[in-house]
Amino acid sequence: MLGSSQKLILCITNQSLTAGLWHGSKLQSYQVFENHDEDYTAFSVFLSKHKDVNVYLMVDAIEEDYKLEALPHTTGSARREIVARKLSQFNRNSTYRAAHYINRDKNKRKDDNFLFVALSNADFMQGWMDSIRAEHIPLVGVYLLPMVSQVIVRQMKLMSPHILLCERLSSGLRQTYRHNGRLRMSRLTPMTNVKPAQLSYFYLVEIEKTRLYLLSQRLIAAETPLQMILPAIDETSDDIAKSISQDQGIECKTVDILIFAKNSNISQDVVKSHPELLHMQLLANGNIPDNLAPAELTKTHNIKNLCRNINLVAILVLMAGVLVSGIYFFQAYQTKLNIEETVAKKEKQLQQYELVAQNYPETPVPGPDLKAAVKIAGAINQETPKKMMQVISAALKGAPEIAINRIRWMQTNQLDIKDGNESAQGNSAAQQVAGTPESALRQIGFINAEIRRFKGDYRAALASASRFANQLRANPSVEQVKILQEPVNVSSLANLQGSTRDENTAQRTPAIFKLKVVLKSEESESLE
Amino acid sequence: MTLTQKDWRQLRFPILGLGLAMIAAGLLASFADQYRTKQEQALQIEQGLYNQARQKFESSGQEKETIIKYLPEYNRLLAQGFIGEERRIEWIERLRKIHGQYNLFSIDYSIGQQERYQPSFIINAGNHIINRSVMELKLDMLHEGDLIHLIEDLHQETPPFLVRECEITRPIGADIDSKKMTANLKAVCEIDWITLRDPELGKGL
Repeated sequence: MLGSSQKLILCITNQSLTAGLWHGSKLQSYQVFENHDEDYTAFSVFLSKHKDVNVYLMVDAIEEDYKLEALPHTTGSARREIVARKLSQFNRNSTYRAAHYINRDKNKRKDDNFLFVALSNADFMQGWMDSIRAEHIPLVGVYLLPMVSQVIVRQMKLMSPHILLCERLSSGLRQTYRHNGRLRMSRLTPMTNVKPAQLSYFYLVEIEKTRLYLLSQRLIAAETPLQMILPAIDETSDDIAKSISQDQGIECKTVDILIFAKNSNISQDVVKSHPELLHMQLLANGNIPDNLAPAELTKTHNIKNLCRNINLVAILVLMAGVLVSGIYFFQAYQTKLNIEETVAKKEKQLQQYELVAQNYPETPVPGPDLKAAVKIAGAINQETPKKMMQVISAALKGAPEIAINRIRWMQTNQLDIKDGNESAQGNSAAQQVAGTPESALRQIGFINAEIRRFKGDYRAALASASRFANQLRANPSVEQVKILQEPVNVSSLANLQGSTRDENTAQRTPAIFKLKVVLKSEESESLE
Repeated sequence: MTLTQKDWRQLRFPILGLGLAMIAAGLLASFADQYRTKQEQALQIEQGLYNQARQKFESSGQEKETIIKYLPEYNRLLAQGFIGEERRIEWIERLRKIHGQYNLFSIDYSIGQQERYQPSFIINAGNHIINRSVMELKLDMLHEGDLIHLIEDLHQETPPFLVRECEITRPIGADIDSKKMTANLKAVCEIDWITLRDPELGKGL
């Protein structure tokens, strides 16, 4: 589901295609196909056997273009746009092209230096590419061999600023110029009909051509000390190097490419017979340079890659879910253990209590409930209106002219209750918050009284009512007395009606008044 | 990279798989979270019960004293009918007995439906359930002493009750003559008849 570690690496030259199958970084097998119809068919059959294997395509061709460009420094989409535009200008007709970032200028503008590379003619690849398309092979990318050979220079730590790497490959002599290790130019010369005795001369001629080209392109100056690197596959390399050094006066150095091949995990024998397999091995090792293939060619791979990534995310999501659930379940398990421990402790406490409780007197309910029931019974006030009546009677002794018409007596904890209010049932005593200081019940009385034999003397009536209220206040059991209604309302805020002949008329308006009396609670009385 | 219908067909199963994986992971995590929460709640309950049990054991000595101290009074209240079912017949009989004893004028009574009650002046009811029935007494009186006698005698012979309110009225201008056997005053009283339910019996209500 997530893809295998197999890789199919192809190297296309103008004459043939070498296909190597890697498992991880280990070459399993390789096969060479020539540029003719029979081998195209064989290649298709070969591909059909490895349909799901990712394919890396390396090109070693004569038809390569290189151009160094300095672009204004940009980033993100602006950079992508400017590079795409420049690439179109560089090689409009080529399908395979790429911009290889080199470095940033150190001058004032600090431009970005790019090497634009392209295959100017890809007709030689057409047959192979048709097979790849037909089989819907996941093509990862198309790469140039000289770009891969950069890895050789880097890994062999060849530090000279001007290097001309001369590789003898199946396709011919590949000369690659590198400035400070960076690719600047490469050219391939086929080595057809070159006899071993003529090798040194062939090298001399081709190197001179390359040097002149570099001079013409101003990539080097006449006095630039160019260092030649000859990867030695056999003993002829030393002779060639010696010959070039003597005849051209160029520093020429041989490097043992077979040891490098061994270190790169590929057999020396296969490199001797097919040197490009070393570059293919470097690709297999994960040294992937810039891709020249357009997006439509790598779409199959990209879709496959996208599928693989989605599957990977799905697995990660599932694993995260399992992990989070695992953590939760573990915490729940720990909690469950705590519950069991707590239950055991509780049972122990209860057992100990049961042991102790065996010595208790037999009781229908637990001790705290016994106490609560008794306290509730005690809290229910056994008061009667007797006390209020006694207070009123005592006050009436000093005010014989007053007659009581109505007494409304109540026990409530709402001291501001009004006479017109509903009874204290439910909406006062029951709704008060338990435990508040107002929770103690108090005796409150509303007294409606009148002045006996009232003859219209309002001044005397007011004095009588006031005296009666004062008599009540004087009682030590009384906390508060409030005159709610006077015998006559002399307030400027109310209407006052009457007749000057009131004193002589038989029917007079009665002089009634109303008081509110609040008795002290038993607690406050006892404190006093 | 633009995706064609064919590409979407290729992506169909991975996307479906991702969706299923997300749902499965979400469900699994949610289930595990619920299970964990449930366990935590169970632990809290058990810890509460454990604390109660511990406190009960620690105060067991005190409880013994409490039982010895309050059991006789509790039994008296139980016998009186303060705890348990209301004994309405007995109440009415006592009312009639007092009426006869003091030669009172007629007493009208009404006892309302029993209801749950949570008065503010009772702070700790323990495990008891408090019920009350609101009772209304209406009586004509020769003088105010009739009402006091009635209530005081009821207090002596019945379970505790709360006289919440009494209204005594006299016609305006009328004089009280206690020597004549006529009703000079009228009284209307509201009484809260409070009873407790045994915790075990209370569960069934």
